[in-house]
Parts: sequence; structure tokens; C-alpha cells
Amino acid sequence: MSIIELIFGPQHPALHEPEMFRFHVDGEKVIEAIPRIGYVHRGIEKLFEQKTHVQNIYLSERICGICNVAHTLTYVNVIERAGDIDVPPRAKYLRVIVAELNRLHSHMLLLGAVAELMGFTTLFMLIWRDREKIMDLVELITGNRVISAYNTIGGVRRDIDSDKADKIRKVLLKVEEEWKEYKKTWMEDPTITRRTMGVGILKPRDALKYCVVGPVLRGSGVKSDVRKDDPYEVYGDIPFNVVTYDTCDSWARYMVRVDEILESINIILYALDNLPQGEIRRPLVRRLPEAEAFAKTEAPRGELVYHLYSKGGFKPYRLKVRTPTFANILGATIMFKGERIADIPVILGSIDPCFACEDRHTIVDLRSGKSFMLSSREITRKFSRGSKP
Amino acid sequence: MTPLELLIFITQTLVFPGFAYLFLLALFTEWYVRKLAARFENRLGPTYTGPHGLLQPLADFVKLLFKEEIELKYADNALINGTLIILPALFIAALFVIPWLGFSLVSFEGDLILVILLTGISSGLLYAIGWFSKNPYSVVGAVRAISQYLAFDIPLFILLLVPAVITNSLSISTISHKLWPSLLANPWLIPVWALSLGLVILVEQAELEENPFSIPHAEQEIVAGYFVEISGRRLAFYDLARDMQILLAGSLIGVTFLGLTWNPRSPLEAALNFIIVLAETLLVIFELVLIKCVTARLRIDQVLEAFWTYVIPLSIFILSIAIIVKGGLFPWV
Repeated sequence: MSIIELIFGPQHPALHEPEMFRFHVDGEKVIEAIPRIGYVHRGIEKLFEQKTHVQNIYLSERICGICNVAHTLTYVNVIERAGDIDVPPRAKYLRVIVAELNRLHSHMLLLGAVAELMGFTTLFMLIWRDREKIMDLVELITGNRVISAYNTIGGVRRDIDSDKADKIRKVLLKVEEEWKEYKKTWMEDPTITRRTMGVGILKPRDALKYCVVGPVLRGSGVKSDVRKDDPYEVYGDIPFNVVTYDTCDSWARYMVRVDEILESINIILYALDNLPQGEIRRPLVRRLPEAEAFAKTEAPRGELVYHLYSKGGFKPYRLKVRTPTFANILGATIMFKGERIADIPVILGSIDPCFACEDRHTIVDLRSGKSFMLSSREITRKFSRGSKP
Repeated sequence: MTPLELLIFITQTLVFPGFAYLFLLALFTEWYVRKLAARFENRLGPTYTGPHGLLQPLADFVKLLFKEEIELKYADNALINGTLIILPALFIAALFVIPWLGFSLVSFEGDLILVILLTGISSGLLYAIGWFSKNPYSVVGAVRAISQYLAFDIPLFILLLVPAVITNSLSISTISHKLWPSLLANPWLIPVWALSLGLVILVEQAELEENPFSIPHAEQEIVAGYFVEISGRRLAFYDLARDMQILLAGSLIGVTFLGLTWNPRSPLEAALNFIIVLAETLLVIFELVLIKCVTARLRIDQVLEAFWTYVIPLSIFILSIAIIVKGGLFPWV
């Protein structure tokens, strides 16, 4: 049988953002998957250089609406490291609470959307109904449902009192109870397990070779979590488990997220019980010295990296962002090999793609028509003057 | 036939239980399915038009009639239009055989075979819509539909023969009248009947292409499958045909597998029969919607494998047991 090139996207019901995949298929079997990224490249990294450090907090959370807290958290971390700014302990705990609420709603969003990708509309509706409770909690703490604008340089913007803490506890305990039911559905429902088990295998060796991060890596049985390996804020003091599954298929990647929701609820409850008293932010620092800093956090989709180079003053000289989907998309091309066309949405959903965050562009030489990428060494030479990588 | 009898026959054909009644009942079925699915999914469903949104399907139908119809340059539009006119007509013809009042407008020995034939032709026509549209998605959907069709129609035919064997008749009205007397006369048939009822609902779900068998129009994989290019008036007729198909599935299984009707001797008895048939129909549709709401979509290879290896042999086995028990071939029965 001849090999057909099946074009998937940039407009397709299974894709919630514009991105194109070219699949080489032999009948129903996928032989090769070639991603084509860059449809929604917004030039945010360049825009960072033209705005002040304080304005950039609000720009950074617009990289991704769903995991906006993770972005501001990493951004303020990188600024605080560059400027050697101290954060009060209460703010650190509050940051953890909001970051984990963010993880909760992001995982719920994905698991609901994937249920819909498999045609399971009921599960989609029910999960998104319960996600709404988490969104209400985010609104209660930060004043906004989605874009929270909560973290700021040197602390957080709002405090919580005991009434709010009690309400959060009450809602989370209820969500935990309901989520145990959903976990049972994800583990036992015959149609779900048939569609996801053994589909999109990513062996641990391949996972490490292609540098995948977050739940995709943990779904391949590799115990890796920035919160544990390189604790930031107060994750070092909070007891929690790193969830791993070793079946290496799409089901494992979904189950990692299902279990992480339960872990996140426990983290928030622990943080609420051990919330220290004190101030929530230091006076705002607007000017940074000449410095280079690096920060990484565990965003809902995996390791999120910010690299700042400041030449002093109010604006950054260069700010590099590496979002988790950018790391995972190469791993996904391995998962597609040998699977069927009908499995494409399920596998694509299992990496929790966020295309708008990861879009990069290619540099094209107009005279020769050649397109090329800059290697990391060239980027270092170009942007990181005076410091060695 | 006297002029009065002719007038009554024409009224029955056009109004009740003929065209007008079936049209309204089909729209009611759509409302029922939408409302049920919505409540199962923790949504509200239609609410605005009419009491509890009862008139929403009618509003949708009328609105679609006035909408722009997009005719593709390279599609065989005349053939698509013809197919979409024949499609509801086939289902209406099949619905005439259902004994809505305990008796049906058209009834003869062998009308069960006619209904099965008409549903078979309708599956072929759905394939034709996809093929004539000449869109990659619609062609893939049509091919998926036709490859499912054989796997579903064979067990459906075999399982519909089980009540025919139990009652010794191929007429739907007679099956419906004699089902419970026959079952009570030979109680050994009751487990066979129960097993076939459970299986036939599953097979009918596949025939209707609902979850977990909604593969030919899997939205997230192939957009809308074979009816991806249907719009405007055509979509109105397609939706009507779809409602008729669900109504036919519910009423056929309700009447042949649940029975409980008798030959009415007075208008009151006819009304009682009507309520019973309607309740049976809605009960079967309730089951179908319930299955749809608690499952995810399977893959086509999984479905075909399951049907060819398990469902078809199992239905043949059930039919043979029914024949053996009915024929008195077990010495202890």
C-alpha cells in the first residue's frame, strides 16, 4: 500500500489551538509524524526587552492563560534571584497555595477535554463542573478567575484570612471526595481503558533521550519533579509524593494527572494548616543590578524555565522562556509511530499540548531560501555576553 | 370499500397514525433524546422554545428550511438531494408497520422482513450521502459506516427473529400480541428472551451509530463524517430522518420484544394500547441514551473484532436455543 500524507490541522476539531501535524500513514497506521509549529508565535520574548521588570509580570502570565500562575511564579523567582530579593515566608506559602490551585484546574481542564476527545461527553461535563469550584477558589483568593495577577516581585498581592482559609478547606475536601470517584472511572471504565491503555508508548529511555518533562516523563516511570529535585518556595518543607506510572502509555500519563490532583489538594491543605504569620510582601524593587539568573518551576505541564540576563536598569536585556510543551512535542512524535489514525487525538491530548506557549519561529535566509535554527551555543554567544553557560 | 371507509383510511394515513403523527412524534423523540442526554450530563438541554423546550426541534427544523444551502461544485448534488428525500420516506414506510393502536395501518405476514430490508437500504443511502459529497472526511465516514454496517445488521436480523420464533409469526402486530402468551405457555423461553433483549439493545445502539459506536461521525477524528457537507434544507431532512430512525429503533424493539398489546375491540382499548406502545418506545430510547451517556467512543477495529467474534456467534447461538426450545427438542421441556 502506498504511503499517504495526512494533514492534521491547523484547523481541526481535536485541536484547540492552531498547529499542524503531517502524518505519513500506511492505511490506518501512522509511520511518521512531523510537527509544524509557529502558527501563533507572538514575539513575547522580544516584547519583554521593551518593558520594565514590573510590567513584565503581567506580560509573562499572558504567555499561557491556563498555567498563568506558574509563569508569574517563575518570572518573579528569576527576578528575585537576579536582584537578591528576600521574600517573606507567608508569601512563599501563599504562592504555593495559588500555584497548586492552578495545577488543579489545569489538570481538570485537560482530563475533561480528553474525555470529550474520546466522545465521553458526560465525564467532560462533570469534570468541568467541579473545575468551576476551583476557579471560584482562585477568584476568592486572587480576585480573578483565570488571569490571577497574584505573584509580584518580593511577595504576593493579597492576603487570606481565617474565613477564607476555612472556605478553601471545605471546598477542597468536597472536591477530593468527588475526585476519588473520577479516579475510579479513569481506572475502571472499559471504554476509557480500551482507548488509552497500550496506546502511544514512550519508553523511559526514549523519554530521557527526547528530554520530555512533567507528567509525560512521570508517565514513563521516571521520578522527576522540580518541586522535589530542586525545591523552590517552600516545597522542600511540604511532604508530598511524586506520582509515577510505569506502563508508559497514554493511560499512564492521564493517571499521573489524576493522582497529582489528589496530591495537590493535600499540599494546599498542609500549606493552609502551616501558614506562618507576618507580612506578605517586601517593598517593590524596580531596578536590577547587572546579573544573570535562572529559575525553573514545575508548571502543570512540566518543567518551566526562565533565563534572565540583566545589564542593570529597569528593563531586562534578554529573557528566555522554555515552556514544557516545547520540550514534550518531540517526544510526542515518537508516541505516534505505529499507532492508528483514530488514536491521534488521544495521544496528542496525553502530552497536554499548549501550542500558543511553545510557538517559536524559524529564521529564513531570504537570499538563498534556506531556513535554519540557531544552536544553543550561537544563542549563548549572541545574548549572554561575558558569562559562560 | 365504501366512501366512508376510504375517507377513514386516508385520514389515518395522513393524520393519525400516519404522516402528521409520525412527524410530530419524531420531533418529540428528538426533544426527548436531547433533554435526557442533557440531564445525564448535568446540563439543562432545550428550555426556551415552548414548555420545557418542547418546540425546540420544530423551531430547528423550520429554521433550517430557510437557511442557505451550500452546494459543492464537485459533489453530485442531485443524487444527494434524492437520497435525502428517500431517506425519511423509508423510515416513515417502516413506521407504518408498527402497531401504534394495537393494530397497524399496513400489516401482513412478513412485514418484519420488510422493516429489516428498509433499514438495510437506509444504511446504504447514508453511505451514498458521504460518497456523493466527495469530501475526504465524508468519504472516510462513509467507508467507516459501510464497514460497520455488515457487522451490525447481521446480528440485528438474527436477534429480531428470536421473538418471531417464540410467537411463530413474521408479522410485527402478531408478534406483539402473542409474545407474552407464548412466553408464559413455555417458561423455558423467558431466559432466551431476556438475553436477546439485552443484546438487541446493544446492537441497535450500534445500528444508530451512537456512543460507543459513533465511529462514522466521530467529531474529534473526522469532523461530522458522511454528512459533513449537508446544510440548510438538506440538513433539516437529514435530521428528520435521524429522528425517525431513533423512533423506529425504539418502537420496533419495544413492540417486538416487550409486546403487551392486544387487538383492540373498542376506542378505549385502542387508547390503552397506544399508551403502552408509546411507553415501551420511550423506555427503549431511554436505555439507548443511557448507554450513549456512560461510554467513550471505541475504535473501529475494536468494534468490528468484538462484533464478528462475539456478538454474531452469540446471536446465532441464542436463535438456535430459541428454535430448539420452541420446537420441543429438549426431552425435559
